[in-house]
Formats: sequence, C-alpha cells, structure tokens
Amino acid sequence: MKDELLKLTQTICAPSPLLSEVKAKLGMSETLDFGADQIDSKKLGLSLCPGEEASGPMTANWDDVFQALSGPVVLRGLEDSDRIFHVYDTHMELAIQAFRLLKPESKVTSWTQLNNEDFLKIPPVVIYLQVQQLEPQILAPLAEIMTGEREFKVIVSQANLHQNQPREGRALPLQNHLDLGFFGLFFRQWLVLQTPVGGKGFSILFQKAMESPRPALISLYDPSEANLNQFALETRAFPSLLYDPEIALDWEGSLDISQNPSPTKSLVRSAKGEALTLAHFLFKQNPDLFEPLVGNAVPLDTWLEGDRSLAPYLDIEGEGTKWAIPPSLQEQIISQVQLWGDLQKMAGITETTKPQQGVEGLDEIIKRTNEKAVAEAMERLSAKLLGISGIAIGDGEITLETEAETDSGAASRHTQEPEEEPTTAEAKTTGKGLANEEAWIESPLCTACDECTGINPKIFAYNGEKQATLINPAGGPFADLVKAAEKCPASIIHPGVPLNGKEKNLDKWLKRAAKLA
Amino acid sequence: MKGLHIDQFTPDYCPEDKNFTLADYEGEQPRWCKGCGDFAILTALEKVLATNKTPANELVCVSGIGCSSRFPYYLKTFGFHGVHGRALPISTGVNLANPKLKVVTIMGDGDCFSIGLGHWIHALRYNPNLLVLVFDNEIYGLTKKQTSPTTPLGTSTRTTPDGPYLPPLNPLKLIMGATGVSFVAQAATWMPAHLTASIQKGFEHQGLSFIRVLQRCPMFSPQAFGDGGKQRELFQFITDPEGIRVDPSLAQVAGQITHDPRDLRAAQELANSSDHSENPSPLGLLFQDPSLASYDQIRLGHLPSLSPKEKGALLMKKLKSYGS
Amino acid sequence: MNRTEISQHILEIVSDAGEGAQKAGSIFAGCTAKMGNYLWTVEIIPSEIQPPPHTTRGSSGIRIRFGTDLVTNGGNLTDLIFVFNEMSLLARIEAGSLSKDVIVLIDNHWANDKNPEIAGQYHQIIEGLQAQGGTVFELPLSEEVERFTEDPKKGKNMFVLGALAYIYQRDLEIMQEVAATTFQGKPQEILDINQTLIQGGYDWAAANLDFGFSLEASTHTDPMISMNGNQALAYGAIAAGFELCSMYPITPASSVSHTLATCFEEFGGIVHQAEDEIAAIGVAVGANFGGKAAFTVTSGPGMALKTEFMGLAVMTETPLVIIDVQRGGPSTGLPTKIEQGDLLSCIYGTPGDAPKVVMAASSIAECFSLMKTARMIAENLRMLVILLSDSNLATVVQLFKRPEVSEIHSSQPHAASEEDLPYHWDQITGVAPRLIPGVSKEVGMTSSLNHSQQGLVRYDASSNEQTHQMRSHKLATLRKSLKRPDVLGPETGDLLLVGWGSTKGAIEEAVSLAQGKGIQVSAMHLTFLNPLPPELTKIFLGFTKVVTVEINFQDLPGDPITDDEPRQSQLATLLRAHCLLPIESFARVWGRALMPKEILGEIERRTNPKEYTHGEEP
Repeated sequence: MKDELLKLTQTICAPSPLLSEVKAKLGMSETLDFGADQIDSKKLGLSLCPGEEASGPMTANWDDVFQALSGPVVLRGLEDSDRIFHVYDTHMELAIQAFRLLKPESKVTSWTQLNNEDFLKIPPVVIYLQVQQLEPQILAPLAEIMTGEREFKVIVSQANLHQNQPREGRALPLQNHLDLGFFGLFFRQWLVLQTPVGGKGFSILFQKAMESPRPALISLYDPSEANLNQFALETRAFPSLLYDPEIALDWEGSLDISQNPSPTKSLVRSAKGEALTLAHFLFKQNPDLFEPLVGNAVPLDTWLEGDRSLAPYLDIEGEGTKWAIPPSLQEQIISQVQLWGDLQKMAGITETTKPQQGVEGLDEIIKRTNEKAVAEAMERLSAKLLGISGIAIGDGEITLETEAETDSGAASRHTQEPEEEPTTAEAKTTGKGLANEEAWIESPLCTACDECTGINPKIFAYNGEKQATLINPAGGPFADLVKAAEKCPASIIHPGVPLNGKEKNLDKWLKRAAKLA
Repeated sequence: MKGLHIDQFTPDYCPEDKNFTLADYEGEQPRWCKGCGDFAILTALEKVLATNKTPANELVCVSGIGCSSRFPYYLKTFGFHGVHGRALPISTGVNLANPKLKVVTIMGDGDCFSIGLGHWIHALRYNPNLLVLVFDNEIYGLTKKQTSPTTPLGTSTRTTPDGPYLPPLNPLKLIMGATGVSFVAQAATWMPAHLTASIQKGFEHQGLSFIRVLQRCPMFSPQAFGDGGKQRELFQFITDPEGIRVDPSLAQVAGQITHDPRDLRAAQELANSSDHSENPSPLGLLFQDPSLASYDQIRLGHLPSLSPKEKGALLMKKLKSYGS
Repeated sequence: MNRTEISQHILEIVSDAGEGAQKAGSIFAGCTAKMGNYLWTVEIIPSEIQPPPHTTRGSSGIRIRFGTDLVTNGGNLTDLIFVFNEMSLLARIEAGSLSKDVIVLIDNHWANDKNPEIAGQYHQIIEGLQAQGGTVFELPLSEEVERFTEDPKKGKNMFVLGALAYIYQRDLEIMQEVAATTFQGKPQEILDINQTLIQGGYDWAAANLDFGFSLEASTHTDPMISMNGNQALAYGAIAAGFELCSMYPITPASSVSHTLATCFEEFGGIVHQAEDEIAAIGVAVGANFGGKAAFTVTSGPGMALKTEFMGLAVMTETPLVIIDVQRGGPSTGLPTKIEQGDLLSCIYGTPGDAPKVVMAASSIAECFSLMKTARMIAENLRMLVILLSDSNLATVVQLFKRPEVSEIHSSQPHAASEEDLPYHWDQITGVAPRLIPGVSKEVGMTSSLNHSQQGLVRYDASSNEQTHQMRSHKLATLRKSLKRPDVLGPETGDLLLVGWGSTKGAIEEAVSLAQGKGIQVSAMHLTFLNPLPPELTKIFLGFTKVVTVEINFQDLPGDPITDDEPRQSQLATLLRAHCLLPIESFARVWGRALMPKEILGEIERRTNPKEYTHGEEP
C-alpha cells in the first residue's frame, strides 16, 4: 500500500499547469512560430519579462524550474527540519520564477504573496513518514514542521495502533491515544485528515486533503491485516475525521466525522448488539495482550452504562472466555469514548457546541500524562501555539477569534460634500427684490472657474454640484466681494452693501461696486 | 504563513455600490486661464458622467491640439491627446474597436473647422457613436491669437492685424447641409445648467452627437459672443418637449422660440439664419434623428463571432480554393 | 521532330484587349501547375481602360515563367511569344521584353492587308526581329479559327492555347479540364466550342510545327496554391488575427483591401475605406488603442501623408502595422512600376527620433507569414512596424507551398489588473504593459506630448531623455533577439551580394549560376532593415567586396559630375553607416524587376580584374 500511496500522491499532484505556460512563454512550444527563422523567440520571450536585476529571467536556470513544476517533492522523515525547510524554500523559489516570467507586472517575490488559485498551481512539498507504530518522540519534530511557516503536506502512516501496552499496566494515555489527528487540530490553520487507508471514500478524502490550498496533516492507519482498518473505525480506536479550515472558522462547520460508522451514536454495536470498544480492537489486533479474568467482574457493556461497582471483563461475542481488562485499559476505554463524544460535540452532532467541552477532554489528557518526553513536547507545543494567530491558550482555555468585528463593509470612501443650506442659497437667489442689501450669488449660473474661491475661500466655496456659493459673506472684507464680482466671468456675484462700516477705503470699493450693478 | 484572517471573509467592496461623484472623475488640476469657459464644460461633463454612472475605464476622451484639447488630462478616464485636426478619425477607430466604450471627442474651432474640416464632414456622414464637443471661441488660443475660420470680421489678430479678409464660416449652416447628420446642438459655457443638459442629451444619443459650445477666450477673444454672453439679445433658447430643457433659472437670460428638432428643413433655416451678428444665435437642440444607424452598428452589428480554431478552418478552406 | 528539353521557359501570350490572351494564359498556367511545374506569372496590362484595337497601347496579355523547380523570380527575357497581331508584337519589342533569339508565333492576317501601310508595318516588324536573331512562325490563325467559329476574335485565344499545349507537351486532358472549370457557368455551346478550338489548335500545331519542348515535372507532394503578394498579405492579415483594415485607394496597394472586402466579414473583420490617407491611419491608431488589432495599407505617396500619425503612434506607443507596397517614386512617380524606393524614408522619415521596426517581405509566402510576425512585434513591444512590399510581389502570381493554419492568432497582450500606469517602462527593455479601455481596471492618459509614466505632460530635460531612451530600448530589445542572417554560399569570398525585398529570387538565381561557374560569390538577404540583424560587419569583412542589389537610385559610377561623391543607393547608405565599410551597389531605377542575367553580369564585372563599367542599359 505504501507505494500505491506514493503513486496516488504523484497522480493527484500532476505536473503543474504552469509548466506548459512557461515553456510557451520561453518560446519552447512548437506553436510559437512567429518570425521563427529570423527571431530567437526564446530570447525575445525572456526579454519581454522584466525581472529583478539579480535573478532576472535571463539568469534563471530553467531546467530546474521545469523540474520543480513537473511534480511534487517527496521527502521522507521528519528529522532535520532545517534541511526540510531548505528544500521547501528552494522549491518555492524555483516555482516563483515561473510566476515572475508569466506575470512580471505582479512583481511577486515570494510564494506568500500568491493567492490560493496561483498557489495551487505549484506542486506541493510532501513529507512522508511511515512507521510501524507512532512514538511520542514524533510530536516535537512534527510540531516544528507545522509551525515552521511553510505549507507542507505531511503524511504519517502507522501500521499498528496501541501496540505497546506495557505489561505493568501503566498505560501512557497520550501514547496510546496518540491520535495525530487530534493533535493536528491544535494548529487550526492546517487541514487535518485522519482515516484508515482503503475502504470506500478513502481516495476522495485523500485527494481533498492534497488538493486543498491549506497545508495538511494526514494521519493514516495502514494495517497489514486488511479488515482491521474498518474495525478500527467501528471500535472508535481510530476515528476518521476531516478538519478543513477553508470551509468555516468554527468547529461545527469545519470538522467532519460523517465518514465514521454510526456517527451520531456514541458506540457502534456489533451484529449481536455488543458495544464495540477499544478493548475489542486491541483484542483483535493483539490477543496476547489479554489475560483471562481472575476474580469478579461485570460485562463491559454494563460497566460502560455506569455500573462501576466491579471491574469490567471482555467477552468476545459470547464465546465464553472472560478476559480481564486492566485499570489502565479501563481508563483508555473511557477516555476513548469520551474523546469520541468530544469529537461529536465539536462537529456539532449533538446539541451542545461549546468547544470548551472538547478542550476539557484534551486538558484532562494533558493533565493525566506524566511522561517526561511527552510533557516536554507539549510544553514546546504550547509555547509555539501561543505565537499562532487565531489561538490563545491561557489557563487551559483555547479561544478563537470567531467574533472578530466584521468591518461594516468598507467605510464609505466618499465623504459627503457639506450640504449647503438650501434655504440661504435660495433666499439669496431670490433676494433680488431685497434692496440689494445682502451679498448674493446666482449659483446655478456658476462656471466653476475658481476665481472667487481663489480670492477668498472663506467667503466663496463650491457646493456638491461644483457651483460657487456664499458660505460666509462676512468671511472677508467688502473689497474681496467686489473684486470677485468684477472677476466673475459669468457676472453672477452681487456684493450688496458692506457689513462692516469701519472697513478701510470703503468709498473706493463702493464706487467700484456701483459700476457692477 | 498564510493565516486565517477575518478580512478574507469580508466581501470585496462591491463596485456596483460605488458612489459616482464628481470627485471620482477629476484628474489633474486644470491649468486653463482664469475665466476660461473650459472649466464649465469640464464640470458639466463630470456631472453627466456622474449622473450616468459611467465607469471611468469605459470612457475614452480623445482630443486634438489646442487649449480645448488639454481636456482629457483633467478627466480621470482613458484619454488620448492626439494631433491637430485628427481627433475624429482616432475617435472613429476607438468606436469601431469596442462599441461598448463611450467616446468623447474634444476639439477647438481651429482643430475642427480648419485643419480637421475634411474629417468632420465625413465623420458626420459615417455617424459613429461619439459625443463631439467643439469649443468655439472664434480664435486660436494656444498658439496665441491667430485667425480661425469662425473669427468675426473686424477682429484684429496676429495673422490679420486689420481683421480677417473673409467673413467667418458658419458651422451650423455647414453641418445642417451634411448628409447623415443625426444630432446637432449648440450651448454656451456661461449657461452651465443648459450646457449640462445639452451634454446629457448628446450622451444619450446613439450616433455622432455634435455640440458646438460657444465660449470666449479671456486672454485673446474676451469680446467674443457679446463679451461672453453678457449681451443677452444675441441668443435665444430653442425649446421643445423633445429638445434640451431650459432650467427656469436661465429663463430670464435669453429669449425663447419653439422649434421641432425632428424637422430638418426648419433646422436648416434656423442654422442658415444663425449668424449671431444679425440674428439671435439658437441655443439648444437644432436637430436630432434617432433613427439613423450609427457606423459601428452598420459595420459591426451583423458580424459573426467564430472561435480562433473555427476561423483557422475557414481560412484553410479559402486558401485551398487557390490550389492547383 | 526533336523536342528540346528545358528546365524553365518564359512564355508570353499577347493580343488586343478583349481577345482573351490573359484567359488563355491563366488556363495554361493552371494546367502547368496541375502537371507538377512551378509558375511565376505577370499580367500585361494596357495603359488605358478602353484602348483602340491594333495599337501598341492596346496590347494585353500574360507573361508566364514556368519550370521544373520552384520559380522565384521573373527570369530574363521571353523565350517564346504568341501574338495575335504585329502591333502587340511591337509593343513587346518596345518594352524590351523579348530575348534576341525569341521564337515568335504570329497571326499572319495582316501580312497581306488591303492597307499597304499596315502590311508594310507587319513585314517591317517581323524582318526586324529576324535580323536580330529571332525565329518567326507566321500562321493563318484567323483563317483556322474561322473554320470552327464565326467570330475569330473570340476564338483565337483557345486555338492558341491548344497550339501551346502541343508545343510544350501539355496534357491535353488536363488542359481541357482547367478550361472547363475556368468557363464554368457559361452556356454549354461556349464550353463546347472552346473545347473544339483547343483541340483544333493542338492538332494544327502537331501537323504544322516542327519544334517543341519537353519539361520535367517536379516530384514534390506538398499542396500548392497560387496567388499574388497582395492576396497573400490579405490572407496573412486574417491568419494573424487582424480585425480592421483601414485604407484609402492607391495603386498598387488597393487590391489587398479588395481581397479582404470579399471575405473579411466572415472572420469578424471589416475593411474601412476612409476619406483620405490620414484618416485611414487615424482610424487604425484609434482602433489599436481601443484594443482591436488594426492595420493600414498604402504606397509611397500615402506614406508621406501618414508621417505625422506614424510619429504619433511611436510617441504614444500604440501598436500599429503599416504595409507599404512600394511603387515608382518620387511623388506620384510611376504608379504601376516596380521600385524599392521607400526604405530610408520609412526608417527615418518621421521628424524627431521615432524608432520603428521596418521589415521587408522577400517572397509571396513571406507576405503571408510576416503579417503575424509584424503584429506580434507591434503588440508585444508596443511599436510601429512597417512591412515593405512592392509592385513586383503585389502583382505576380506565383505557385508556392500552401501555408497551414490551424488556429488564427488571437491573443492580445495587455497589462495585469493591478497595473495602474499607462507607461510603466521596464528600465532595461523599455517595454511597458498596455492599458486597454474597457479591459484594464485602471485608466491612463495617452499623449502626443512628451509624458511621464502617468501619461501626463512633462517638459523637463530628464523626462525627455528618459522617454527617448525607453523607445530606443524597445528597438534594441528586438535587435538583441534577431538571429544572424544566413549566407547563401561560403562565408568568405570575393564578393557578397546583399539584397532586401523582392529581389531575392533573382539574386539567388544569379549567385547560384555564378557559383556554378566557379566564382567566389555569396548572397545574403535581409528581412529586418530596422533594427538590422547582428554580426553584419563580421560577415561583410569575410569578403573582398560587398555590393547591395536593389531597385532604387544611385549615381552611376563614371558619371563625371558625381564621380567624386556619388550618392549611394538606399540599402548601401544604411549599411555604410551601420558597418563603416565602403559598400557599393548595383541599383537601377528601370521600373521593372532585375533579371538574373543582369545581376550575373554585375557579379562577373565585379569579380573580373577588368575595369568596371556601367551596368547594361535597358
């Protein structure tokens, strides 16, 4: 299945459409034939794409660019994040050459400037990790990759679930419940897909994750025994989930658990009516882990329903043998059911949608751990998470800026012109009858020549129709009113009578005003 | 890192909701002389564009050479400042390229009636869908006071210091004699409301809307048109329900006569008698025939639209007919 | 009877206007093409529209050069001429078209004409020809034709066709087929009588002529078409995706628009006949500005009128293609004659510094293909591109390989939606993305005045310098992507002939002949005249002498008044300035195409140690 997975990846991430565009632009396509015998089309094509001096198209190594555009880069393993980041940066830089060539006017210098549509044209960088069983040590490097400000498609495929059941019964809850999926949900920006491989709908889900513009964490369960993958779903040992932040901001919209059997039910029941649990899964996967019951116990079903008087035992399909379920496993069964319940709530399957519920469950898990390596990983993780926008972790509460203030459309970009009081204007226009006492202006006849507004903007100003009006006849000396009236090419300004008798040289101005009448 | 930000989820500012205000169409600060009527024409056109909510990138303003032809710089739309006398062929080309564009052609009296006269007569006949504004100030202003075809007798200019040798050309008479003319109006810069209404009427007309805008140059022809419209007996408004509305505030400014703009004969008579030194010059809609097809309709209306591949196949068919 | 094997021949059929010589010729050509030979055909056109019969002015006909291999030029002098009367013959003698040992077949109708003057003239003409070495066959053409039809004037051409079919061993069946197609639509009697006449002519020739020619067919299998250069320009414009041809009638350019006028609308294009040359280019500039691919087509006098608008196109950086089909100049000159006189005026003719691209088509096939090249250069670089053709290419019908077009070129480069400046020049290449009204989101100002990136008027020194540089850089950007031109022959030698435009075929034929004689001569032909392609100087230095071959004026060497400083022909002038080499030329203004033998003569004179004398007079 591993190679098939890779093949599937290659198929989904086919050569970029940019590849043929770039080749055409560089004159390498057969159809670009103009002047072919006289003009070096490749050279001309390159010249027509102005690029930055340092790494302009003239100097780009186009073979590398074609390589980058021809398919996904597949890296193995999570170690050495520096190397991984370097590969990513180089790949992106080569892809950007294509954009610079095809759209030089956009002056794109980094992949971060691309919109989703363009970004999707670049084949992704895929990190592929295939393990027998997940170890907690995986979390630290994984967290580093996921917070490294680069957008990978990380595929982690495990062959066994919950394998290492320590004999002494001290389970490591997070280790056993190392649902990478849930871990991935921390990050909110990454698309998270958790699913067993095979089964119906797998390739559709996988394709969705790979074709999303989001970076993706894909956690796969790939058992050697074929029917274990469906069983993992039924026992909720490895619930399937798809978290797509592109769809919505809240859990309910973005989290999809509908691919699981009986998604609205807490437990899946077998044909005989028995509730399937993690214990059933572990038993199927590795029956040697179990020892026959010694002492009294209640059936697991009863115990699940609330009868905690005694320890539960496992009875596989009424076969007869009763198997002991050690306390650690009991805890795990409870927490797995609870986790499933949290997932349901988050996905909005039940009525309550408070994300805090799920968070509390997670919180408990964190509190229950006492493994040093895991604790360290979570500390580092928390520290990184605090730096991510959209998430704040404080006192165990994770909040989201869902109630971001919506910008009430773009604020009106056009300031209203100050409304002139129509009454005053009208009064002035019709004020011809008033023995020429007040200064007035025939605004409708204004030709907007800027003369009067230039002489004294405190007296004259344009209204919204670009017609001059008297905003304040007392805004300047009578002289200005007369000067404006003289200059006005439409002769629509009437200075009236001076408002301030004490003005200098009033005689001169009155004489000039008289001439205007 | 491409993070989720709430801005990504707010809708783009919807262009349909844009408020079309005068400010949206203002380009550079105009640099005409103080008192120049061009300001009024600019404002009037801005008002018309705002009223019609014309997207700025769908309007092309083509001009010739002259003070008038500085117009496109001051309008925040596509503009083409061309060569002297040739604005009409360029405008016709734009109209044929994309009939959806609104084309405004700006010329002065020298640009249109002197060097551009040949193109003008033919443009009237082609009837492309253009709004043509001729700023007639009866002088060459930009080149500083030479005689224009419409300069009245007795006006001293630098090329005819004793006044022109020939009586001026009457553009209205000429235009009403041209075949295919579909819209003729006359307006003046000192009557902004009427000017705006005239431009609006021309804007709505499909075909060549010719508007002669009377103005005077404050520097070189301040006396034109009765000192810039101050002699109100020189003008009269043409009124008709189908014509250009005369704002009540202007009603006192000049006399009025009724005239049916659909009547070609009457329009021709009006034009012939429109030399303003003898009879009042008519302001308003002299003639409109909305039934005439515009050149772009005639030439482009019926053309097929094939894909490049289809055209390629058709071309090969034609080439094969030249085969041996 | 001995049939002489020939590889090519030049045949003329000439008659009075209305007697159908051209029809006969076109059927002969069609048949020859079907038989696998190549053609180069020119019509002989009377100078008046309704000339009087039996005069030299009235002679009308066709001149066909046909051969086994691709015919690329008009060849030398006519080998065989079939004339319907002696005045037509005289016209062709006066035109200098006939070779000294021409074979003449002539209707002897006027040999014994009642009017002694006419009879006398008849014999005089024939004797004159015979004296210089020609062979004349007088045949009773009118008599023979009268046996089949009442009006010999309307039957001679088919009879002649039949006779020629015999002489040149043409497949009679094919000939009859082509004739039937040519007269398709006419009443059946006409078709029948034509068939009879052709057969009659053939039989008569077989019975009475003791000479003939055989011509091998070529073995090519490519589909061929025959059309003239103007038709090729028209179809090339369609293939290039042009949608507007704006023009004003002028000889010899009008037929480009005639061809388009019949079919452009089927492709969504239109031909706009403007009121004058200036309006024609104005509409083309406006249309290109508005986003439609438009071109204009004219000849020399039209180019003069369009000068101001050419400057406007360069200054505003509006893409534009102008086709100049050159004719005899200067001024009105020789409207129907061949000349290559517009080279320098196209490159330098606009006032101020207005760099533009000038290209020349050297064959009819190039008339087709260069239209797309011109458009793509114009639109990608926002430049004015002038494509030069001439009367030679415009009127000659040649058989050439059919171009294959799967898809019309349709894309139009314009600015990205974020671009907001009308002249956002790249400092290195000078190229700025183009804002198109109605397409681009942002608006921009375009001006004939010197302007800034925003398109606003700028008067200062640095802005003016910048805009000049940007326009010059665009030319350089194209120049840098031009390929080194090919050299026909070795890259070193005694003589290199450099040509441009329609002289290519004749030059290459002459050079091949010369190379066959052991002369160390090579040839180069330029398509791009501005910018010039790279490495010219380097190539030229490989030869002892470089001589241009062109049809325009140079002061002839040996002319006493100009001998100290003769004015050079146009390409020579251009190349001298470019390479700083003393390039000379073989340039004549004879109003006709240069013949390979004339060029061969020039080659021999140049490479011969004998002193150089004037070229052969026409």
